Amino acid sequence: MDTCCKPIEFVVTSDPKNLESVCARIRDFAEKAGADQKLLRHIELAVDEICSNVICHAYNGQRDQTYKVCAKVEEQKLVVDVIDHGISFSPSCIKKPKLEGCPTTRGIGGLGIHFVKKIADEIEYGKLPSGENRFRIYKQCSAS
Amino acid sequence: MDVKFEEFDKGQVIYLSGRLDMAGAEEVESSMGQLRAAPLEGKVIIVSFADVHYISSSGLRTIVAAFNHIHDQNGKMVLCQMDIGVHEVFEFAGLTEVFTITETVEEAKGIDT
Repeated sequence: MDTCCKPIEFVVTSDPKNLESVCARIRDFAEKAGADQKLLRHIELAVDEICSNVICHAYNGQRDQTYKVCAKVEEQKLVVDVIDHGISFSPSCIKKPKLEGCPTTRGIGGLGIHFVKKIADEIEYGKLPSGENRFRIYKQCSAS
Repeated sequence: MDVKFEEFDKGQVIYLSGRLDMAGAEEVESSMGQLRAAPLEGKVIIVSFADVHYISSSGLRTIVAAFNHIHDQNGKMVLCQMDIGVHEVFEFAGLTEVFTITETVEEAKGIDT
C-alpha cells in the first residue's frame, strides 16, 4: 500500500443521492493507495453502509444534515472515519441478523452493520471531544 | 436507478439498471407498485442484475421485500445475471443459499413454477 497518500476529508449532506459520490471518492483514494479490486469493493460497501446508517439512524432520515468522511493510510492500513452529530448508537448492541432460512422468516435489520463488521479488520465507535460521533474502520491492504 | 418490466408467457422479467444503494432502493420501491398490482399466483418473476454493478443492504432489503410479496402470492422469484460484486453481497447476507440464481434470463425462464 502506498503510504504517501495524502489524507482526504470532505463534508456531505445526508441525502442518500450523495452516497454514490462519497463511495466514488473513497474508492478513488483507496485505489491511489494501492488497494486491489476486492478491497475496493469491500471498502466501498463498508463506507456506504456506515453512511446509510448515519442518514437513517443518527439523523432519523433527515436529508438536510451533514456528516464528514475522512480517509488516510496509517501503518499500511486504510483508515476511514464517518463523523456525525446525530443520535449515537453502539455497533456492539446491534443484534446479528438471521442469515439462514427463507427470507420470509428473517428480520430485515442489522445487515448493514453485519457487513461492516465482516469487512473491516477493526472498528471503533465513540464520541469525539467535540461531542460528535465517530465510526472508524481499519482495513489492511491485501498483499500483492 | 432504472426499472423495466417485460412480460413473457410465465410471468415478468424485471431489468434493473444502476446502483442499488439506499437512493436506488427507494427508486426501485416506488417502481414496484406495478408488481404489487399484478396477479402473481403461479407466475415467475425474474430479476435481472445485468446492469447493476453495486448493491448494498438497502438494495437487498428491497429484493427481499419483493421476494416476500411474490412468495405470499404463490409466485416464484428468480434472480439472474449477477456480477461478482453483487453475488458477493448476497453471499454475505446468506441469501445465495435461498434464492434461485441463474446465469442468464433464458435459464431463469426455464425454471418450473
